[in-house]
Amino acid sequence: MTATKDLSRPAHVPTELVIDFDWFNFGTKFDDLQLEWERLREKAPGGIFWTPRNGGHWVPLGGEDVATVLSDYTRFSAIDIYIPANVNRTAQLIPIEMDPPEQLDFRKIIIPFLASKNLQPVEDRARALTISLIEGFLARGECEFVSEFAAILPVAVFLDLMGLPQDDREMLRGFGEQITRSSDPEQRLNSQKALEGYLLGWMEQRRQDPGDDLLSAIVTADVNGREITETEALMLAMNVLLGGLDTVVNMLGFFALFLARNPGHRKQLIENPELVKPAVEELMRRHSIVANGRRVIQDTEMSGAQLRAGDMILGSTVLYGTDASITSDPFTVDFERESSKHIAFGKGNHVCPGQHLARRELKVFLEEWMKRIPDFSLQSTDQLQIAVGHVAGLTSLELRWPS
Amino acid sequence: MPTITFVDPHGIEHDVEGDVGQSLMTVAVNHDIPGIEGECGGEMACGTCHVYVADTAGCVPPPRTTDEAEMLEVLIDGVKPTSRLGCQIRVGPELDGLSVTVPSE
Ligand code: HEM
Ligand code: FES
Repeated sequence: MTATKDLSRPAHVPTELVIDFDWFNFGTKFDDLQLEWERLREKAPGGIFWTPRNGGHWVPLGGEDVATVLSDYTRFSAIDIYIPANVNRTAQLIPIEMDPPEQLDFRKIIIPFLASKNLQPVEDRARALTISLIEGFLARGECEFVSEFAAILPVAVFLDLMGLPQDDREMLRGFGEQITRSSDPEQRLNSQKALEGYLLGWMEQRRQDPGDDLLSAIVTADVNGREITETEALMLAMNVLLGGLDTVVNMLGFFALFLARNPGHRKQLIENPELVKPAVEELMRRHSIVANGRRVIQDTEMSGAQLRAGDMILGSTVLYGTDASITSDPFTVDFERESSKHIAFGKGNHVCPGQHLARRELKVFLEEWMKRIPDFSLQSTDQLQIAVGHVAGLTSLELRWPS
Repeated sequence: MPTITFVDPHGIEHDVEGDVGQSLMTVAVNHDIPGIEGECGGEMACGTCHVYVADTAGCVPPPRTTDEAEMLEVLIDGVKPTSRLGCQIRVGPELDGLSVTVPSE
């Protein structure tokens, strides 16, 4: 990450705004991802820079600028959210890779199933599963948190929403893992196809015999007076799956990592369970994990830089939660802050429709885990595996506790 | 500028001035009215601008559009006849003196 002149840059980008930064590779030795983003703020005091890596893109660093990038669709379109731009996709994900007004036509279909008022039964079942998973490894005194807990819960919740058999959990998790983690593009594509095949099969079944589940609502949806197409329905179901999987897995991972390292915060949650709700917000503020791209669609200015239509720009949500001009002492986690302002769920027209569900999953985890395993720590300090990308996360997290 | 009264979830009244053309949601967010987040920026996508609008002093905002009615129904638990999405109501001179209540949850 040094200022450089030899990597190519478009003519409208001045040399002084160029930093050679590969956002998939922050450097190998770090264990606080959020602090790494902070270092970038020191490197680019003007508040924005351009990197030639990954197809070339802008990186705004101020929290308000990031919120603007994610929400002002008149200047920043969501038709391309991947950086580098995704070449291999079947079709655009719906609704995330759409702009208003058509985006809302599709959002409407899924929102009733994700609205807070309808989620208590889903939470109850998620709680039962949480308890049984924890009790499954409790006596062992150790677990690999990601594969034995975090990765299982959201898959089960997805199957629950869609009215699909819980027996498919292992298979679905396998597809998901390969799509997001495999470094072999062919394997990724194969898993993607297998997942699509799985969903298409059930979609056909629900078209014949609709129930009151989300998948039935998707395949029978009316879009502005016409029937939804099969591709649209598939891309909508995929978006619900992909939107709710890695995000919850990794947020759980960062929660567990933080608590494993901070006995004082654990003690607070045990002594005062009322703090669980604010703790969820505060931990998300400090560990916002999503970073998505947008395509600039009209020439515009941001923090003094001239952006051109066609440029790509990256909105990293953690830069909002950790912006010292928005939150004082932002790297300190304080469950008793007056408010924990964050955009972990995005901002504007794409703001996460799954946020109420996600909050419940995170709350249930804190409540049930802290009751049973109040005291836990990392197995070792030198093996943290952090993956960066659109959803940052821990690839594994070995925990242990007195048993 | 028209004055709007927001009764917050604690029952506290806030009299604030709004610019003509701004939405009630924007006015509330600009004045940090508790209970109004405006998370989606007025795109009818979040429901965090829900308010109850009573007919005060003859100030009646234009009725809901079909889209707004539909989104209220899916987003809000216990929609009342007076329920509105604050982001869909524009401040105008005719709304001077309007009072709206922010629901407690
Ligand atoms: C802690 C967990 C989660 C986090 C941090 C998170 C974060 C986000 C963010 C930042 C966005 C907006 C992205 C952008 O503007 O580019 C988003 C959108 C979305 N999320 Fe989530 N999410 C979470 C859980 C979920 C869950 C559980 C579901 C579904 C069950 C879900 C479904 C979606 C969908 C469908 C969208 C696209 C919405 C649209 O484009 O209108 N998310 N999420
Ligand atoms: S601000 Fe989101 S619906 Fe009104």
